[in-house]
Amino acid sequence: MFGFGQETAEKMNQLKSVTNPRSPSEALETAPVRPAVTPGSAGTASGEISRSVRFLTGKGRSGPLLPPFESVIGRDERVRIVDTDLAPWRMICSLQMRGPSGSGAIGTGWLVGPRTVLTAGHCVFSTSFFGGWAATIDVIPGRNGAGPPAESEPFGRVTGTRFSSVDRWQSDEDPDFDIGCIHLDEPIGETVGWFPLGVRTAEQLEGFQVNVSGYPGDRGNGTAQFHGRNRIAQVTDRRVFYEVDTFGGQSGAPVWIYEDDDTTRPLAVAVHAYGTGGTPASLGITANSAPRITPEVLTLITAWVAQDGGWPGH
Amino acid sequence: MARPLTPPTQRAGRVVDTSGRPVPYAIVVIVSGSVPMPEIALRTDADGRFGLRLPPGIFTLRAHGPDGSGDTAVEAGTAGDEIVITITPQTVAEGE
Repeated sequence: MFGFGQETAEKMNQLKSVTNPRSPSEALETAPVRPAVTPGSAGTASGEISRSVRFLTGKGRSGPLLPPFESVIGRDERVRIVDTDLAPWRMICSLQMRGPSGSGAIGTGWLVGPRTVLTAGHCVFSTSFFGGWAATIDVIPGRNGAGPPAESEPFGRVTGTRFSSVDRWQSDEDPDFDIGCIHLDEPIGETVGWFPLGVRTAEQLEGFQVNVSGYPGDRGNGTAQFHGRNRIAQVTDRRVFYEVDTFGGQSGAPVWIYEDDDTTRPLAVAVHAYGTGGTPASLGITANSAPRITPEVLTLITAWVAQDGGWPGH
Repeated sequence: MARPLTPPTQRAGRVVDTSGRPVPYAIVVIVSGSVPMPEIALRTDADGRFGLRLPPGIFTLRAHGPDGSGDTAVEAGTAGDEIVITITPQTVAEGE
């Protein structure tokens, strides 16, 4: 009924939220209500329109399919974002994760509500990198380089210790379910804004240009935001595949579209998580990928935002 | 695509420069592997050390430091020697 294929339709409402032991709430059952789009906010910071949005982002279904890239192989098409104090770039956060043993890692997250940061599941729970749940994650919205914090962290930083993910990610670490979130005490989204999330079918996504922006480790040492775009290459029941240049550290970045050429309103449709090695050989393409915002994933995220106080007016 | 039945093995690693000196706070990424690995990046500690658990398979790890980068191949599946990645100046991969 949602155009997500038989497998997905049968699993509606079967996903459950799991939280780390520090989180006060336990597993949330998915509710049957599934809004198609969640509310977004530009935040209370400057309303100036980013020139980068006008000149760099891919909009609508226009534009050719650019030459394929692996994670970072061949020509590097990523462009550094310098006006990270403007929307939507400021909604995108550099993440500094720390495991229980003190091990460090970096990733990317993005605000989806006043106190909720969406990211990849493996940024909050990973057998390989943390031996389980992360211990702490520093969230730095709109980070802009390695300079003094007063200049490079225009909205400061907050530390999260409460995390959630999807039960299928925690049990199987299946790339199709690699989604997680950070629950914050501080409402930083009120200032920097948050992305609206949209459920779109494979047919609706076909031909769209997608934008991916995050904090790669190979450029700027994980402190600078880089953006890439290209047309969607393929969509499966659970993931969207695209030939956008990315690198380690961009895990958890937003994958968004603009539904027409004239809008400046982004619509997030997936969470970037894998380079080319995560693409099944059976698809016969070289592409990076992201778990999609499916109806049941959106329901989970809605529950996570509600757990943090919800969206204003909803 | 689900988690392998064989549990991952813990491996310790170190990033050094061509003189063998540790490279603190370097970035370490799994750039290829025989099983899907996500695009997260590890950061070494003040002594250039890092740790991770790898499922059975063959992986290429790349380290980025302020002066360059370096790759090393790792065969995982059993407890092995320490992983050492040597950063070589001006060996940035094509296009980076």
